[in-house]
Amino acid sequence: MLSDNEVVRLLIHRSEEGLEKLMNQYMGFVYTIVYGKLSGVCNKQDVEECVSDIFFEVYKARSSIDLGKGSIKAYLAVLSKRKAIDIYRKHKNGSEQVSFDELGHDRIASDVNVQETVSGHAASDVLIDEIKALGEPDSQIMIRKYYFGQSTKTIAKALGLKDNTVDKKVSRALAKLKQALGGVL
Amino acid sequence: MEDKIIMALDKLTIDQTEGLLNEDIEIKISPKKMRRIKGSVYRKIGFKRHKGIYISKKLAACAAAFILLLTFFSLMGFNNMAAAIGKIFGFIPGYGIVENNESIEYILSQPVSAENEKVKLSLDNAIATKSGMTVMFTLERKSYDEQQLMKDKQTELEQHQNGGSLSRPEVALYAGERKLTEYSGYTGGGGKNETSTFSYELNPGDISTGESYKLEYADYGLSLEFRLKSYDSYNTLEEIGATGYNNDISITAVPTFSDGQVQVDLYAVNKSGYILYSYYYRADKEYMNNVLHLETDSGVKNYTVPDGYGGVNGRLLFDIAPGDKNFTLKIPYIMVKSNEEEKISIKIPKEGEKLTVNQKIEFNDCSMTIVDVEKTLSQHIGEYGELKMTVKFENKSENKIMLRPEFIKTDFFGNAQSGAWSADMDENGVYTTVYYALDKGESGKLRLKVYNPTYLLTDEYELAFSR
Repeated sequence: MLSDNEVVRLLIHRSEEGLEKLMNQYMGFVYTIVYGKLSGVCNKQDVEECVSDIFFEVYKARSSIDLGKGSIKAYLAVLSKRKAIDIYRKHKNGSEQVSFDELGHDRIASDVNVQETVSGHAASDVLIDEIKALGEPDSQIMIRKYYFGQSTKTIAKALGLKDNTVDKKVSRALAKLKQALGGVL
Repeated sequence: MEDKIIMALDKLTIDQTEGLLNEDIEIKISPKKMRRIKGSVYRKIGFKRHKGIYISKKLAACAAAFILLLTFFSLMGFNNMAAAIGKIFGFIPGYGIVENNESIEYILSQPVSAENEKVKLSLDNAIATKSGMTVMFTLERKSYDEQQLMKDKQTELEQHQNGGSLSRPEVALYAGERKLTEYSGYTGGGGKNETSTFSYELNPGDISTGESYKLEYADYGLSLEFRLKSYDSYNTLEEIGATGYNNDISITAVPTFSDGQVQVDLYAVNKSGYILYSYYYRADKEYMNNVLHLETDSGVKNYTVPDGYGGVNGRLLFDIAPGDKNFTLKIPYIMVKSNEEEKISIKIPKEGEKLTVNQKIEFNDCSMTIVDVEKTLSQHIGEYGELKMTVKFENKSENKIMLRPEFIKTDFFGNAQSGAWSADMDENGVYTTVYYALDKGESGKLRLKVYNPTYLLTDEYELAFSR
């Protein structure tokens, strides 16, 4: 697996090879995020098209990737989430397009004021800390379920657990989070 | 609660996402999906798509080796290496990388050899398709008498020229109890070592890893028993070895370490439309004094080539120090040929007269100009004199350097005739003057086919590996 620096270097200087490496390393990751958001409202082709758009965006913006702001994985994760959510919304009432360039800035939705956003960020930080504090495999189960949107069956298969074990762990983790987060969320 | 968690996670910033996903979570995607999505990305970017290589069953049955040749020499017309990379690559050590290949079923389980007082017979590889098998074997003559062998070959050639057929070695392949004597193929080398590649047609039921096979060389009373096995497949070339990509040609290096030496086998996947000819310059010169070399912890090492190796699938040997751990193979350029050809007609001037012609020949990557011609009797090559042609090349890209084309005399209808030529080169091995042999009393016009322009592609390959 290549380092982020190496991937970016390739993307800029040997772009075809760099794109190939990027897709080999992160295609499953991006696909899972997009599928988790869109599987209920879009068909397989739409999901794949969205994933393809994400890599296309990254390719176009390859010269402006700033690893000082975050890892490639984090960039791709945020871009994937936002692209998928946009498509999800489009099915209802249309939405703006997200480009890779926007990711260097924290987007503030027009209908959310600054005060709410700041408190939202703080709540998210607490949530992340609490998920991490669950320990393994509970932490990974929660990330897979609520970040990637994976089904109990998929999680169970990936982690070599029984379906009902996963469900029990999710249930217990939710109880812990509820207690820990109190009124934060 | 669940909805709130999902909403919060959907809105994470890059920093927060970094914190959440700082552990590796393994997430896979099926190769089929990956291929489809890659194809879509490449289409958006404007890369051309792989059209696929069609191999007829009959062809596959007759010569599995040809599949690899098609891979190397394919002129499918797509110019993007990356478009081909999302495929499954099969790696057959000592033979090559086959891509997306459904024809090759099995390969030789392990090399075998047998010998008697006269020869040693070694089976180097075997490649089985659903309906045929190609065997590659070497015959080493122990008591090698070059003069006697030359006499035998001369006698054989004369018999052939007098209407007789060249003798075929009696080499049979047994699949279980079934004996196959009919084969197609070729033998190269000669002299002390002779390498042969023979293909036999088989029934699909004869091809399996459970079957026992035997190669019998009746002329020397030797036989070799062997079995087949599946070959390793990889999703990317990097899994096979350090790989570099330039001009739609990938080169993968597979090192084998032994005491004081590393052997590096080079394997190419070529989507360029050119014929890959060599990984290094096969002349007494090196282009711009830049030579293929290996950088090691203890310094730069020069290569040697084992007897009988070279060209594509090159094998390179380097002496290394015991403490060397990290290696970088630097291939400053590769030599390729194009399949283009142009037919020209040049006036043959009177002896001693120099004629300015400035005749231009356009190739895809270079313009060649025959500046002037002169009939000489300097006998560089021709018993009856030569047409001396001053040539110059204008390259259309900085990284594609024309070295030379090849020449052959044609008749009025463009059919190739026999002929010979020699050339002078500049310090970088680029042709400057070509001498084409004339027949006795030849005058009027010399018709030539100018073909296979040969280029150096000067984008460096840098292949790093360690032990």
